[in-house]
Amino acid sequence: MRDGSRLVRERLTGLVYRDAAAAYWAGLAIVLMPMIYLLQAWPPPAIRAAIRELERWPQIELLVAVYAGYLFATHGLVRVLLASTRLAWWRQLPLSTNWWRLLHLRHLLLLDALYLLVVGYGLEPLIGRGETPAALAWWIGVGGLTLASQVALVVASGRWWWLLAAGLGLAASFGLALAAGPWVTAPLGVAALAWAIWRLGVPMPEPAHARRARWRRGGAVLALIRLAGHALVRRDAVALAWGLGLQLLIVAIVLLGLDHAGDRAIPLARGSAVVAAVIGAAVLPRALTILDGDRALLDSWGVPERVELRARIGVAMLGGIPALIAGALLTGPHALGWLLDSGVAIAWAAIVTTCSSAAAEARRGLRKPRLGRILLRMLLGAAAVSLVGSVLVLIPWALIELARLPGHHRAAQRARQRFDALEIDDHG
Amino acid sequence: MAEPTIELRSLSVRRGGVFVLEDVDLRLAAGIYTLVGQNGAGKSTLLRALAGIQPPARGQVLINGHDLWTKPVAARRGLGYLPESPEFFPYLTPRELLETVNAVRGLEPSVGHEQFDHWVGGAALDRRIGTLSAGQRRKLALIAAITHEPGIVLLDEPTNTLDAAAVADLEQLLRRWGDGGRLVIIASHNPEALGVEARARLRVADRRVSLE
Repeated sequence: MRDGSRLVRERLTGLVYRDAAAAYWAGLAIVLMPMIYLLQAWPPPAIRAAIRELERWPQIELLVAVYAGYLFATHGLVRVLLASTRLAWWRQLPLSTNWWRLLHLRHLLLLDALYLLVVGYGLEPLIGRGETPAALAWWIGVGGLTLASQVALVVASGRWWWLLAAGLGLAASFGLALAAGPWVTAPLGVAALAWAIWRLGVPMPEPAHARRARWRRGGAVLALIRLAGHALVRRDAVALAWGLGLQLLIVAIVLLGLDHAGDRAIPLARGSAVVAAVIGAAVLPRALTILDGDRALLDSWGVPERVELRARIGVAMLGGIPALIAGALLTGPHALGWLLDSGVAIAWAAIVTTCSSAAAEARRGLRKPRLGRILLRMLLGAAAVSLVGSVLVLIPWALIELARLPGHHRAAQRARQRFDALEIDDHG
Repeated sequence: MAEPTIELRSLSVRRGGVFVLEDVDLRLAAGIYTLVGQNGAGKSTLLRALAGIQPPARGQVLINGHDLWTKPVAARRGLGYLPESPEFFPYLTPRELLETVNAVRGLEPSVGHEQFDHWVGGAALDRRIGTLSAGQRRKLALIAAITHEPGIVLLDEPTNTLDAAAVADLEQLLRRWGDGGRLVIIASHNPEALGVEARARLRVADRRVSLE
């Protein structure tokens, strides 16, 4: 008979890594491919030399950014390795706390082996200068703090604000430790690692999505957004593609304007952000029209009003995202301005479109053509922005519409119940 | 076999940031207990805490006199737990799962195969768990929980997704366990449906557990 604890260790390691690979292979591929190109264009010795030549504080800032980026990039994987719900069942077996500690530590070290090698590579010049103890202290400190931070983030991941606070706190601590030097970083790393190893013996908190988060954390809102997305992709893909094409065309016009007229084209960019946002938000009435035939089923689920309104605003906002991203990526020095203008315009367009869609639903007019209304809204928005010279003028407009939204939504519900009931009576 | 016991000392359990159980003191001896309470009252959380899956925020769980968290091997040796929704790695086959579980418990790899063959069919022994139906997975979870014939068995909604034949077998098994001096806790919304006579009823309400 094989040694039981060894067999289960081998099996669980294979299984959790397979789970992690299944969940994150696409993300890893997306990260690794540009990394390969980056390393070809800028080989590791050159990167190391460039970092070492930096001034002290910019160097610390860069290393904190790398550390935070690594924590962010690996957080999902670490959660699969340490807090998978599929591991919970195995906890009933007679295995010691130290066995679980070592299993999790082994999984973490397997994940972080490359990172630890890279840290070692970065410190190698210190060894060449005869500063081996300092290099070792840095390596222990940075490695210990990173591993402990990964565990701390999984412990904090039950609530997003804990996660955010823990992430910021850890990044700041890491930066301060780097500033204090290797002889402070090393004991901190050892202490943090000791805490992490102790913590690995206790089951990690249930992942947020597993229980509490299912409804409270936007699960229902996301489900309704996904439903609208599926409806659009499957039933109205052509219109969706046209909307996307129009948004990209608008961004191209803005690019041409900025290229030829420089800062004088900023009002054009501002107005274009409004137009693109209205075009993007138009996906909402299309989705509502497609789903209108299944309204009775949706109503039978008892979806709370606020959940449905948030989902509708979310769908309308997502419609405007392509122009926001394309503009931010392509407008170079004007990217920040575009992001702000486009962000406000998207929020405004989403609220106004949600409100007008609810009003149309209340009039039983979802299936009637509304191109004229959309164009009018677009013109009014663009005109207001041009007159005032800022997209901020859209905010009070959006707030007024937001206040009217629940009233329109309830009127739509009443109309639906009245008319749907009549249709059912006809069949009876 | 010494009489199995479960003892809770000021047990408090947090789940999802809130206390689901608070300062629970309880001592149970051999017999069948049904565990009742409203949805969300904490029945499953109590069973998870007893099975060593949910660590307590405060207090102690003693299984056969051994603390579940400071003496986990001794405490869990006599324990079998069927969760409400068993989550297995889908790539594993039932044969591999049973082999692994049995190896940890010091049993022959084939223990449980006969029961699996009877409930699910031997052909499924080498299929991936991910391809089994919910009922088949549940049967496998039950078999894996009891291959070592534990003195304490914790069953969370055991009849969910089981077919009539398996429910009848489970009833028989429960009667045998009840007569054989085992301690069985069954969380169920409809404990009478199982047709076994319980020694007592445990009720979870307002973060407390009471014995009726």
